[in-house]
Amino acid sequence: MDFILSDMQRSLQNSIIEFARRELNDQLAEADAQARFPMEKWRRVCGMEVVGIPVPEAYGGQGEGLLTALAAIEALGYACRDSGLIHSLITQMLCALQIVHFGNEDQKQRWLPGICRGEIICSQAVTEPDAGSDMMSIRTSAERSGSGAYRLNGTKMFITNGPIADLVIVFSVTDPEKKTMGGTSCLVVENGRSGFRRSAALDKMGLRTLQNGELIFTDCRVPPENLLGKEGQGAMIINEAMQVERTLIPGAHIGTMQRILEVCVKYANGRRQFGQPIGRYQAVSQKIARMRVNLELGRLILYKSAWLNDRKKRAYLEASIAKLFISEHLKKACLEAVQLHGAYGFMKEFEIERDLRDSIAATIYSGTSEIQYNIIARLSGLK
Amino acid sequence: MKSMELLKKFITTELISDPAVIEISESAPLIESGILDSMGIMKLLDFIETAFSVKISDGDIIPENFINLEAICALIDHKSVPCRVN
Repeated sequence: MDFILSDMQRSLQNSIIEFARRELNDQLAEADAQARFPMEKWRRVCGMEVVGIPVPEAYGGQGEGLLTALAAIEALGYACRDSGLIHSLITQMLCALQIVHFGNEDQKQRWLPGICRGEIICSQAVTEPDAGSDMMSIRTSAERSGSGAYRLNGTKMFITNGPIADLVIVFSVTDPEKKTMGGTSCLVVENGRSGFRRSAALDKMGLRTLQNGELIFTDCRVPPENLLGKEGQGAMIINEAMQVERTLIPGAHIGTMQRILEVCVKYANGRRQFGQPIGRYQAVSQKIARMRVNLELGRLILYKSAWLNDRKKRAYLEASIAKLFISEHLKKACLEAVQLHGAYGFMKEFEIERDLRDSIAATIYSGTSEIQYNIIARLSGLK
Repeated sequence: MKSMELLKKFITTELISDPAVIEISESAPLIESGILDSMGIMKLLDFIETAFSVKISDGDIIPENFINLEAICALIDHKSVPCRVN
């Protein structure tokens, strides 16, 4: 067992940290206030070839494992203060991986190089207005016509990258007679298809540069060659995708937790009250210690999840534990960081309040904390 | 046959919540009956790969391979001829 990153992975992290600090943090307060997607920064970060890290070289990627991808995302979470941009990038990587794992050769050749370069922006559409945590109750239907094409009807909600997506992986019902396990499929829909409409971005509390919106399908014709995997495999594809998603997204959170810890330590050492640095007071030092404990524990379970994945082992349990633990402790760390900075922490200028706003959704997306507890309990033997 | 017995035992003890069900037939529908839901598939895959030392690839995770015990056993046999048991 060895969860120490290799020299190559460390070197990759260092180059991403240097790049992110130089290229990704300017005009962030304005972009956050305007809820604007930073397209120029998207181009820059895709130019760093981050998206393609876990994608085979034959399709424009680097052919590395999930742990290397995680190391890169952790570095981004640490050095790039735009959590919305990072979340958008991870969604892009997750969609690429779904095509790598379940796509046929033609689909891989057709889409992956453009996705790796960031020229094709992707999103994954599962959630619906009435199907959130209970994602198996989706209603979006894909009815097969005589020509073999699907006719897609339904509405997807809160879809990450949705308002700017060129390509959407849509989870839909293809056989209403069957239960979800055999009656759902994943269809890839390109923007521009007749009957496909993207809404404007929704206004959010945090992650404001991330674009989330509604996707509407009205008799949208999707050719059979856009079916991802096999018909009826939808729920199984989503299952596998969630395992990867719950390993990669918390990677950015671990990076953010590291940055917040360092900011707090620096402030606690420098800020003096009653004649000494506030870090000398246990009320402050214990906050710092808690942040460190949760950071180290979270990183261990997360690396284990990626490490298992790279060894072709299932990591459903580890991914759920990582997602639950890290998202909850990211939120706590951000709240404690605001408290530790006092009134300064409450001011926009210190940028900690944005980290707090961004952290709130972490315990909601990719399966709420409550759902993670359910999964962990089931995987621990409860029926 | 040993793989079939191991699978039966796993499904009846780990996946079926009704204590009255102590036996399932080899052709009993697992997906259609709701015994194998999305969580059940996760538990089953983990069990199969550990108990039989096989790797079920993404392309093999399709409903047809999990429709009943016979199909699952055929998948295991296909992945490890003959079925190995740890």
